[in-house]
Amino acid sequence: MQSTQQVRKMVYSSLMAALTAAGAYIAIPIGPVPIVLQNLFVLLAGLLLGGRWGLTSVGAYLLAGAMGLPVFSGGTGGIGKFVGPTGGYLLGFAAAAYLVGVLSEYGHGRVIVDVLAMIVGTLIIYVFGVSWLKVVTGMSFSKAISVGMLPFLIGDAVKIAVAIPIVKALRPMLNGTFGVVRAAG
Amino acid sequence: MIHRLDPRTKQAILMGISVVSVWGQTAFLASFSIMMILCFRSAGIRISDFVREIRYFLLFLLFIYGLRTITIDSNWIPFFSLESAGDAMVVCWRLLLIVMMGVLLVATTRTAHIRAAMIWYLGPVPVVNEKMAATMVGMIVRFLPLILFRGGEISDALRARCIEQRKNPVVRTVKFTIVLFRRIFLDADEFALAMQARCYNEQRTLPKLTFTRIDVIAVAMVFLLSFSILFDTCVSPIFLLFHFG
Repeated sequence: MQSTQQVRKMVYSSLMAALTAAGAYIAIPIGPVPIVLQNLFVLLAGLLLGGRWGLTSVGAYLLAGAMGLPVFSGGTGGIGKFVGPTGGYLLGFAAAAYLVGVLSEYGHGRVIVDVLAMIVGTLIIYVFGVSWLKVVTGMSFSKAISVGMLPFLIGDAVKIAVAIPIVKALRPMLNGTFGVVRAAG
Repeated sequence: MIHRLDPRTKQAILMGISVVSVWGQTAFLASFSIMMILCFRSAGIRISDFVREIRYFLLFLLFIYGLRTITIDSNWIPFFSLESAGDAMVVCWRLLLIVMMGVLLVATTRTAHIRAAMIWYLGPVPVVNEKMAATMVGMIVRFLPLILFRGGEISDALRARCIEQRKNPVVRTVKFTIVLFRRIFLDADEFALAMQARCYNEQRTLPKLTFTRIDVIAVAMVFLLSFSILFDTCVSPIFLLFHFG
């Protein structure tokens, strides 16, 4: 039998992957570029589950998409998405979740470290995403940045602002007090 | 016939159609819909039961349709365009069909067989722990409707507590998300406990899977269906020629 902690972490990772999939469907059309909640959940996976399990969660999400489940943005899926123009962002999600998780583990729940970790994670997503976009489309680097990064930055700031209260509310519960909450409720 | 198909064939068909449907427009989606209705009849699943089962998902599709159709421009003025309404319809239609296919797969295949098929596919992939990965992908499929169901419940509860009175969208989003996360993590915790209580272990004996002639017929039918995508790619330029020419 596997350890209780490992089974719980595996179930939570799957849940975060399912949330990332649900977030990919929702595009909030504010301003010229819609805000997609997918990368909010990727950052949350790193913050709530830590580096290793955050990476596992995003890995499971990418695997589900590669197998054809409609979990990527716009309800698409399939291995072809990885070689398309947005494939770099997908790979960047895995690196970002791992890095955000590792950094926030070092910070021991301090808000400033969490914010910095999310900023670094967001930048990592763009490093992968914009580089791949440049390779696939043959655009210049400045044009790739103006198309694939700059329009999304305001939305990313909003997501980081939303993530902080969520993490503050959920972290104590994920540290093993769920049983008490359920018994009391 | 669908019950007798090998789960590996069903998953291959799911993967193949998901990839092809990205390029599919009205003709492909219409022929695919007819095939799905026939498959549902053959599997003994009533459409009314299916609709009742996915009612929250249908509301969610409606929500996506609204979000994709009504756009707010750089001057913060909402506007409706026929083109985005058509695109939104295709996206929602595609999502619904993929969900129908997922439901058909789950309804006609034992969970152990689905997992065994996924392990068979992931076996040759290096680094990946195929047994854990297969279990996790299975859980993602199970959790998606649960998230949507809980989301529907929480929206109703927040409306009953006059959430519309709060004008700040960030506050509303945070209030919704924290409650949603709390509820689904509690569900996940119970799920993990249930797995522990049943002595969950990765090293389980896998069921034996065998390909038969029916699998070849099914793959051939799907291959033929995929040709309807050519109507989309051919009809669209002809339509444009008549329309603008």
